[in-house]
Amino acid sequence: MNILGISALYHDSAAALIRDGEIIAASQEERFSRKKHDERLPAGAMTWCLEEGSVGPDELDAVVFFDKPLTKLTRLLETYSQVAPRGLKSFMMGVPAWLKDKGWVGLQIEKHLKRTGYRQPKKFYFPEHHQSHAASAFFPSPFEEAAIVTADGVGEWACTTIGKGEGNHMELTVEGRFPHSIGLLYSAFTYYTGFKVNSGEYKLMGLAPYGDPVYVDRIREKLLRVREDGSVWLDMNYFGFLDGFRMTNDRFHALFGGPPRRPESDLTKKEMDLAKSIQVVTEDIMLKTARYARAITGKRNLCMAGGVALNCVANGKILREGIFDDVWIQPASGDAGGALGAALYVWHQVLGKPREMKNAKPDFMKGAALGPGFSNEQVKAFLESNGIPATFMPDDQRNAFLAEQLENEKVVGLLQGRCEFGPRALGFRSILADARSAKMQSYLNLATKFRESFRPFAPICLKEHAHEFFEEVHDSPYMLLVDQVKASRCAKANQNEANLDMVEWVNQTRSDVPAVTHVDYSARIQTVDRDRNPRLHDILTAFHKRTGYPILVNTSFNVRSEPIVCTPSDAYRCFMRTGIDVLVLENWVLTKPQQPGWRETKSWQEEFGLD
Amino acid sequence: MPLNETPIRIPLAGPEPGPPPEERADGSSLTQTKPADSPAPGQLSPESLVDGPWFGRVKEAYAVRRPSRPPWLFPLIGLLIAGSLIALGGHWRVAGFIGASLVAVMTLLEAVRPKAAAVVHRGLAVFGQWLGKFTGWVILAPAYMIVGPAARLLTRVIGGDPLALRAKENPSFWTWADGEKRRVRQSTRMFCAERLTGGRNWLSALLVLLLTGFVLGELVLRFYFGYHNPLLYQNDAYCGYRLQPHQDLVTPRGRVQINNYSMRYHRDVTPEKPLGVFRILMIGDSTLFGGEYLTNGQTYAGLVEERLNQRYGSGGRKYEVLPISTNAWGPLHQLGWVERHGTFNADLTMVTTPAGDIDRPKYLVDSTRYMVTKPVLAWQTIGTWGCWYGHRRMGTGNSHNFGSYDEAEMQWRAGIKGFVDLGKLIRKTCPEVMFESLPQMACGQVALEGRVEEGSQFKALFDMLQPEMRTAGFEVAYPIELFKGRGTQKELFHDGSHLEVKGHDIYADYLISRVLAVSAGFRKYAGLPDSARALAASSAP
Repeated sequence: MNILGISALYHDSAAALIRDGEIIAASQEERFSRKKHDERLPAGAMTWCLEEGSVGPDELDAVVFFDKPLTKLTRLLETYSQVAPRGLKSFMMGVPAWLKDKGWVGLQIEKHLKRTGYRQPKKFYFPEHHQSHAASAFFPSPFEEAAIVTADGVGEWACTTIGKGEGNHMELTVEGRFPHSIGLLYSAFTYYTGFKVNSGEYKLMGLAPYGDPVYVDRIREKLLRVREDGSVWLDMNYFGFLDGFRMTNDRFHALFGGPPRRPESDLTKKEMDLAKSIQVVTEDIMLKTARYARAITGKRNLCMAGGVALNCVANGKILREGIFDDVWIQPASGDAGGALGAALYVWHQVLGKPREMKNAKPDFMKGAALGPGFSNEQVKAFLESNGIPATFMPDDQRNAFLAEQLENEKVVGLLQGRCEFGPRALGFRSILADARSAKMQSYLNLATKFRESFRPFAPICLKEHAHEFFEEVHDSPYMLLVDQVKASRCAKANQNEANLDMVEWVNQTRSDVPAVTHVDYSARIQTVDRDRNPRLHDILTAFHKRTGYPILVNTSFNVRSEPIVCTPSDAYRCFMRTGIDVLVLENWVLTKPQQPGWRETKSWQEEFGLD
Repeated sequence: MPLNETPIRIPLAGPEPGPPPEERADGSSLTQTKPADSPAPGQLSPESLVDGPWFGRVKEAYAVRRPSRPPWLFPLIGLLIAGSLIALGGHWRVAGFIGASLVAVMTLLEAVRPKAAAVVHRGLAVFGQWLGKFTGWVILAPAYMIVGPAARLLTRVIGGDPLALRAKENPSFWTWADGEKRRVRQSTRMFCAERLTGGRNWLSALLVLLLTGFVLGELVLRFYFGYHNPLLYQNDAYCGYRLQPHQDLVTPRGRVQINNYSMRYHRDVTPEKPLGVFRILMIGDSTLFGGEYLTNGQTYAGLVEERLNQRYGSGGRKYEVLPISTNAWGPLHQLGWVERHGTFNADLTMVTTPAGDIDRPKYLVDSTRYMVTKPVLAWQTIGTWGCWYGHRRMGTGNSHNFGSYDEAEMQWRAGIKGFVDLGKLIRKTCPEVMFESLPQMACGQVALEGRVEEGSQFKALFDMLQPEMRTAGFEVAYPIELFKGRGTQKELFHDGSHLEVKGHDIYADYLISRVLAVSAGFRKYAGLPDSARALAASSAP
């Protein structure tokens, strides 16, 4: 039975195909359309998923959209009815869009399927937004039973939910409802600190370690109420999203001493302190929520999904607190993962199909490598048709070559296997570099990724050696947990580093893996094991053998605002535009000096804009 | 590796070429790509990069597939619309011609200069978008500004708080989620009704709904129906009750002016007739009064006056038609009024009352639904009419409200006697008197259908009245086929008894013809030949 899950129309649209409960394919639309956080109907992703699964024109049994659009519309109308006559402009922008597009999503999907030669699916489902998230958290997890926590901006009405899963059944127990949303609270600070809502949240999280939590009390006193059970109430007198386009309003600005930071302007200590403060508040709420989830479900494991579950600092704290024995977080925790969750929801929850727990280890996500992959033959055809010089190397040889290049502080662009599903590059579409280099963070940010200098990089580490580098987190396959670098590896930082220029601050050496040690000695860890990603495991092993370090920098293969590369041509384009020295396309290896000249006709900023 | 020892290279600034792969020590198994033609430096660019052999169907999916349509389809639709507009006539015709011209020009342009046509199409599309936005604003913005605040107020009053904006003191902000069975049941729907949360005060909700309905109703009754400003009545020792003098009220459809003698007349009058004027006194009930849905000039009394002055006003002749009438009057009320005020020195008195009025006793205003003082609220008028008067309808007659046929017959007899006495009394002070019985809709329309007044209660009453009147020397005219073939029921009658504008118009002409035929005094004053038959032949409307 083929079930196609779809998420779309808000941000990060995606499609996922499952067959008899097995995940066959899943991808975000942005990988095809090359528009970051593409929210449009995932025409490319849907088509690719069906093609990848060799689904015939009349073999599509069900289509599942990841939320209930009309319930969302009623929430919108009810919200306007509580703020009117304010909010007219927002109403005039929002409601026609609903009437034109979002209210007809089922028809749009059918139309697209018809265009691409598919008959109308036998069944159409619309589970609720947080059911989709919860399903994406629990059903692919390795747990027979677990507590479930989902948290994001807002679904239909729910913003945060707690539930439990047992076998092939899940149930949401309580929910925190709009507008009292931890996700929207975080987005409000994202907006106020000059980053883009729905995409800049992870920047805010990366900025937090530079600041001090000086605003925590003000946030707690004025902006919200937090109960011991983790439930929150936001004082809407300080927020603008009920009746306008802005997340915050003048009262919020007065509370924090001025208007929002203008995008791309210099970051100041204030933004850093705000980032730290909201991070502290978020962690507190998430910890309380996790404790409450444990209390009301009685489960020993936790599954998480939703945009807030991408806050890997908070995730790391939940794990370290020991509230649960184990925590599993959906790698595509944002709305993209809703496509997968929606499909799994129908398979298990609606149709009552069992989960094959014998296949549950390490989990059902196949290492999140669910997107398009390319054979060596396809790569060769691409290279030859463009006259691109490259060398074919078998795996062992390639890995040894890469280890050598990495040791020499070369930057390697890696395309191998199937594209990741979710926002993180997990070694299938990654840029790798030597984590031991002190200046690598600044170099990668400014010369390769062209992004803000403060942003940290994550390490990938052989799982079996993770304990040598990190205090407590020793299994983090999807880069969703943050932990402290082992104290024994850390060096004392300059006492006055807060007074330094941002680049100098970042470049301070804090450990023997400085490129992945953030200013607070933390690291967003990805552990690599043979089960999930054997080829990346081999590269790390080769590097380990050569240098004694089983650890590298891993960052997504893209420039700022560009979706992570998908195809060899995307990868080649990024390779030629940036400071990447070596490009690996499966077993084909390209070095920059060998390449023909490259003529940019326009800047990448023009092509992708700024996120 | 020692920390911070090796400076970072900037490859983009000038990378050093590495050794060719085949020269590597371990390069025995290396394989090079073999491009057919090595590209020259600077040859590749983001645009020139040829994509590999993948995503064929994805690319197809992105291609916008417009449904192929025959080139004549849009012109045909345009012409059909334009043709329809032309067929509508009037100003639509101009729009139709403009539309047809546009279609012709665009069709021609597409055939000759497709690029120019595309530009025009884009322009029209932008215009259409703006038009759509404008229309959206015109429709949605007022709706938002009206419904939104009302909904907000209502929610607030009933204690609802759907966004929990005022729930900050709650011990917990979690709410119970829907049961999973319900969710699964609704999983095929795009909409799932939300469970209602507690905290609503349904009694308040009901009260607010009632209050809102009351206020909205008051607004409608006041500004649409004008019920806050009803005609006022007063008791009268002679005629039971009459309209209060000196009233002037504007209703949604008409204007009612009441003069100093409670007549529906545009100016005050005196019992003394002005010199040189031919005065006609019309006595009647609500059918003469004409209802609040007419202006004075639209009633048949007003029309008779106007037309007499138009048609026979040459040589300084003036005609005055004074209507004394009150809603729900019967013959005894009319008799009382004449007993007190006489006939106002009229040259001709016309009693224009339907025969059905004979069953009305001489009740006071208290027995009617009519208002004596101005109500504060329009609802008071409705309350008086619908509730209070509803239980007192016995007082205003109607045969079926009497306890028995005998009682009803007694009243009919009293009414007939009232008419006879009225005629006799008028004759004492007025040279000429005429009795006219207005056909009711039931009679009139039956007549229209060719079944004459068979089975009509009014005809039965008329048949009782006429012999008595003849005995006393009066002839009651009952033009039962007057409206036959002259309009629909809706055009002629406002309700079962009262005429609409067209009905008044027809009846006015009828009355004039009757005056010409019957009144020798009128013919004399108007300078017309004193031969009723000749006149009737020459002056029929």
